[in-house]
Amino acid sequence: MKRNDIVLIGILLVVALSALFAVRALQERTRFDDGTAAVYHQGRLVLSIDLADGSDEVHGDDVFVAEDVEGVNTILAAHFDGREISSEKAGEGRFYIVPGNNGPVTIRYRDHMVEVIDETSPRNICQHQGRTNSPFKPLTCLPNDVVIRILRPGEESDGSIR
Amino acid sequence: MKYDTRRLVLLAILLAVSIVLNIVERLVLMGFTGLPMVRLGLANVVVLIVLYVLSPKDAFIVLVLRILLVSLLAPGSTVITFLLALAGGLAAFTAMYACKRTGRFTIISVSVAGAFFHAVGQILMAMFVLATEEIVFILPLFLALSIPTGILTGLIAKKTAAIIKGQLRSYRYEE
Repeated sequence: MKRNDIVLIGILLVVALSALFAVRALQERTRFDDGTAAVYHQGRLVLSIDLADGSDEVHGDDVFVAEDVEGVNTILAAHFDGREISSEKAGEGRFYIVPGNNGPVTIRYRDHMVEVIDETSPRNICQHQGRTNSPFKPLTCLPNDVVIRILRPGEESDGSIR
Repeated sequence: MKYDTRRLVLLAILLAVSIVLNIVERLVLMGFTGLPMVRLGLANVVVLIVLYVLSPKDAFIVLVLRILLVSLLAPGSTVITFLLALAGGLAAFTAMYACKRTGRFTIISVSVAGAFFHAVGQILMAMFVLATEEIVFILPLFLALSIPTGILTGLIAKKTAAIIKGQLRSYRYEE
């Protein structure tokens, strides 16, 4: 490699790592255990989850809520014609299933945070984004057109974002 | 630009290779690495090779046709994935072309610039399509991942481009 290559790659690396550490620090400092997770499908608000206790407000007809811990697999599988979620993925918590462009998207609420535990997409990126209760860490399932935004306490969710 | 049969055949083969690499990468490599968020961008190797062995115009044609055809063929593709691929691909191509045109960089850093701006293009399109500006906070992770993957694809492209250039020279010699 030439000297120019090292300079260019070095600059890009510094930019990327600086931004990465800054965003991580921001996400850690802005966590709201009493915020609200607003779930949008195709730009329309379909579900609001209170992060304080997991209580929900459903805005769509095709949203499913499973509060059970034991037997949750049976409930989910029965609801979606045999589409099963492994017990390892399900675990404990409160579950919400919202529609996605490629099929159902399963969200778990636990310990004042939400995460996506099952959906269909080429890279499953939103499943690997982990849990969040920070407005600076939205969960985005792009192929499913599902977005989970975290709202600060008292912040009102928009009915539509488009 | 004149397209003789040999050039057309070479382009068609490289386009087919890039489509197969793209689909195989989706299906196999992610599971193999255990890091689904990491995509090497093997299909971009072909665009890089065409950029260096043939011309920028040919590289652009291969890029656009690959994105169109993969969107039609690959399982799980939607309008959103097509738009993301298009935005990422065009941003990457612009960055690679600009870097190559300066003549100051080798194929490896041209590849890194492509991977870096591919992430930028995709996230900007995602912000637009989903109307959610908070998506920008995912960008730093993708930028950080783009450096090692860009270096790796650059190394692969460097070796492969040298082989293809050698083959083309030998064919011309035999004529």
